[in-house]
Amino acid sequence: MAHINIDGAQNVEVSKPIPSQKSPQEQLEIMEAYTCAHKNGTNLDKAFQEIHCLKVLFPRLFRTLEPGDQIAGRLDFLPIGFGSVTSIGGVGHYCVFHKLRAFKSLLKTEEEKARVDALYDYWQYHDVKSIYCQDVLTEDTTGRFIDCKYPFMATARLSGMMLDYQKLMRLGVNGLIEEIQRQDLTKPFIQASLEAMKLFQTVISYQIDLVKEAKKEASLDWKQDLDVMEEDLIWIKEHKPVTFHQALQLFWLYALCAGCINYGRMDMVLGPYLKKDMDAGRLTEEKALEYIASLWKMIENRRTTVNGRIIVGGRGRENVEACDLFTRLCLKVCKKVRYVEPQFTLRFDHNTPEDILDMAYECIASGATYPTLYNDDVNIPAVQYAMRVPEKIAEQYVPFGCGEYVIQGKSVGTPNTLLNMLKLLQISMNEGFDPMDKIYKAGPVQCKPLSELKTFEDLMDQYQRVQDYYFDLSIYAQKHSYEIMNQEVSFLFTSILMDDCIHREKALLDGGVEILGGTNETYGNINASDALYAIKKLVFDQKKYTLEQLNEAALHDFKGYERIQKDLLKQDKYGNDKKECDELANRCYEYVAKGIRQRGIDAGMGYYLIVISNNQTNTDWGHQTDASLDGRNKGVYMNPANNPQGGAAKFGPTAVLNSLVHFDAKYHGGSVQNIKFTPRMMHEDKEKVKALFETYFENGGCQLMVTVVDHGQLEDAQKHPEKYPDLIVRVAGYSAVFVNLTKDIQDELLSRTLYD
Amino acid sequence: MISISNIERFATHDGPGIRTTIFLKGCSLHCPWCANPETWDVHPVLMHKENKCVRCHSCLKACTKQAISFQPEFTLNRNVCDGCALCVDACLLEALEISGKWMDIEEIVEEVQKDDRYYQKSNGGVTLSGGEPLFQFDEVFLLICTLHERGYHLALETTGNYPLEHLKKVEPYIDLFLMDCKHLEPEKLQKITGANPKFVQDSFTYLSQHCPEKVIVRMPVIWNFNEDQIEKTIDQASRLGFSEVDLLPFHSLGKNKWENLNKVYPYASYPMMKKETLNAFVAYGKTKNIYVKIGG
Repeated sequence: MAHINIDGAQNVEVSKPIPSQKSPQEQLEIMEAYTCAHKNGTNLDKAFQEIHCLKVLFPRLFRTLEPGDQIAGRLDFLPIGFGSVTSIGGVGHYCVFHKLRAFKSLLKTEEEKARVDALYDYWQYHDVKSIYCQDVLTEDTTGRFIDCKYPFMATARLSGMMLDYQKLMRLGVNGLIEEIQRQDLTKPFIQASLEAMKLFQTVISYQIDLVKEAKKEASLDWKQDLDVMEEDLIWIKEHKPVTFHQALQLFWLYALCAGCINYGRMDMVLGPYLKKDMDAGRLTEEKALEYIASLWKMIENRRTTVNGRIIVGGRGRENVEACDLFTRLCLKVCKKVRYVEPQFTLRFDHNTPEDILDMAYECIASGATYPTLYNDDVNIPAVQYAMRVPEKIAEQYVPFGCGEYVIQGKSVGTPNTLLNMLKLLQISMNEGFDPMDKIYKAGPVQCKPLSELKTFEDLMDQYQRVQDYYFDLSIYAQKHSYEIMNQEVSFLFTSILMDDCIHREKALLDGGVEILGGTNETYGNINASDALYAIKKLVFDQKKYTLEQLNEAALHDFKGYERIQKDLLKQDKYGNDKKECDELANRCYEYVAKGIRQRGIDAGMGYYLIVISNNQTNTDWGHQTDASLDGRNKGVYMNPANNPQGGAAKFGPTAVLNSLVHFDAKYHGGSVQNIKFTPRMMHEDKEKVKALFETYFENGGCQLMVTVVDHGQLEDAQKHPEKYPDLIVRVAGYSAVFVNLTKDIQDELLSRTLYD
Repeated sequence: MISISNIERFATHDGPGIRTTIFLKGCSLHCPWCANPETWDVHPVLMHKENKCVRCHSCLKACTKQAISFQPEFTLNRNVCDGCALCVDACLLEALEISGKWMDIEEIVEEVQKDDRYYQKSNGGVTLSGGEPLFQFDEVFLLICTLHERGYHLALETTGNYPLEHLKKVEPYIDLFLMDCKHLEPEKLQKITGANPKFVQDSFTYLSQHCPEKVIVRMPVIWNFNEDQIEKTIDQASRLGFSEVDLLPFHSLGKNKWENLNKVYPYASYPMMKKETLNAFVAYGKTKNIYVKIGG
């Protein structure tokens, strides 16, 4: 079999990364050194191979400080290296092939270019994701993420790792080292973990040098800050942190080394230090805000587009007063700085102080799109059921990336599988062929011709059999991603701070992590259910058309079949609080959610759940999806996340929100809902909007994120992008500066209803 | 059955809290600035959007009453059209639309109760608007009683242009009157809007005597019609014991509807009135102990 080449975009990238500080020649040298370490480690235990490779990268890839930085730690990544996620490099030992090609064009000599080619060739066979793709990708059913020709995409990544930073604080570097030393040091994983911690200390020492370097040119004010930074770095290298700044610094450097881009419940990690310092009069609020703003900037500068989660609030926090103090300061920073990252997230429940909710509202009303809101009253019992964990564990749920849940410090939940429900429906209605490219994609499932489907239930049954086949492919692909990643790497830095790798003396995916979960991103859910509803009404209830007639119309993209399209569009759509339509959407949702969840249980996973999140894959996948019987034309974006198709919601926000709460949160592992208001409404009708949100949450709403824009503003920004450099919109599972989005994504956002 | 032009959920301009506003059809006034002219006629009316029409004649072919002709523009004989909507169905370009449908009380209540929790949370409720909501008096009275019985906070946005008996009958069930006050001079009011000044005056007087606390006076401020009446209206509201006057600056958002009904919009050349131009009256209201709000 030909070796699969996975050259091409691997992640959604709206924010453009800051280029490496190193010269292309130096970058090439580093990548070669990395490759060499990898090659030399082939016969070693994977943990040793990993630590050798990491030593090539750290501390060399750290950048110098930027004027004004309040914490040290800026890290570059190259097209070849080690990581967890595609947003900053790749997974395990990775090569991002298209970026390596782009890098090659920066080089001048043929000799240098040939060296890049050699790297390219080597990594085609050793890049972890390539090894995975070699096993799971097929010509018909399974494509790589992002290749939207397929109804199913699979990928290897370790997204959303949110570590137990409280443990890091509690033990400090030396404490962690001691903990590792208490284990069986003959085990490669334990030995390599110990080396990783030593390497971490080297990283800290390197930061001290960088701080000293920065002092030479620093302004008087900043120099004072740098003095503190130097002292604190010296301290945390050996000791557990005492001050807020030390805690912040330690957390940040560790997250960088672990390749983590979602951070989690920072109020629990940092709040107690903040409060102690402020109570003791060691830290003013002004300085604390400056530190937090600096963290915000560091996170923004990593430019991951869809990550950077900082989560505050909610149940399951010990020192609530301290946590809320941190929360309030974060809200102030969030309102002031207009960054698309961090994805600042507020968990709340019925006990959340009113002033925090008010501050959150003001922040949202200012157009920050943050915080995104998560309702603990719904989510904790839901997570408890979905993941089959006790309440105390469920209380530590955290959404990452575009909205998938994990348990902080305890679970892996990376979305390595993605399904397009609408394509599956179309395949099931066309005897297994995808009408978009006429390729057979139903595997062994026998799809009867439409003429043989006599009832709506016949149609549903056929659709569900195709879905079942793809659910089976999904669970295999998800599990196999762990097997391959585990075969190649240990994720040392991550493992050290994840329960219970060190005590079990096992790497994260080797049996180390307590809860090995996973998620499956589903798309086109609502288009599929709306299409089914229209079919039910027009074919089986009203008998106005036959199934074949409707399908024929879709196959022609409704050209010459405008009457049918009009009839399809006229049928009730999800998002309008129409009982029968919403119930069918819920039936579809539950079939998928339960089907995926059960497969996770059967496969012995901690959990495997669908997420109805979204990045921009609803648009990308829509381009490759044929016309559908909800009346949608060929190639048009599909519905975003759990929301109605753009333009379909016609009865106001209460109707949309009532439709949304039909889906019981206990079957999914994250679901996101967008809503758009004008600034006028957010300000003048504040109490009404607040009541709207509160009622939605009391009705069972699990999550909400709000974009605030004015009439015509987005349209104008398309024409005059230069006038809107900081117009932030919520795409779905991420926010972006509107003018940085491509036209098709902008159009999808425009299609969503704006409430005034 | 009751003729409805629209049911608007999450209505935020017609009374306190989150509301559902029911736009009822039928109005005996014909104000030339009206934003909802499709509600004048109690029966469903056909609306034609010229900018979407490609003159394909599908509607003409579909019409069984010969109500449609092209001369060469789309022309509708409204005396013949019965709002059957066959033409709407035939038009693939959404150029035709029927405004208005007959609903029974239970259907309306079913729609209203979908947002019960939102009303409860926000101290909102239901607003009856129009048209003139009491135009279909007998049926609407039953609707009012039903909604009242079910515990909804009820607001009535009304012109006061009907026999006093009607008002007397509904008053006990209404929690808030949004009383339209277009002009204080009877002649001008009658001439321009077609209202019966005595009806209107009686309504105001009755409410003033029986339940002034339930009244908010709403004055649409219209170019060249009542701009000079604002202070007088505030004075009058004060005299009658009301405590709030809402000034609604002229807008031309109903323009398309006039065109779609093949009517000439008399205010086509007038600009939207800026809210800020009315700000001064807030202070004036204070001197009269009246809360003046700009906008509904």
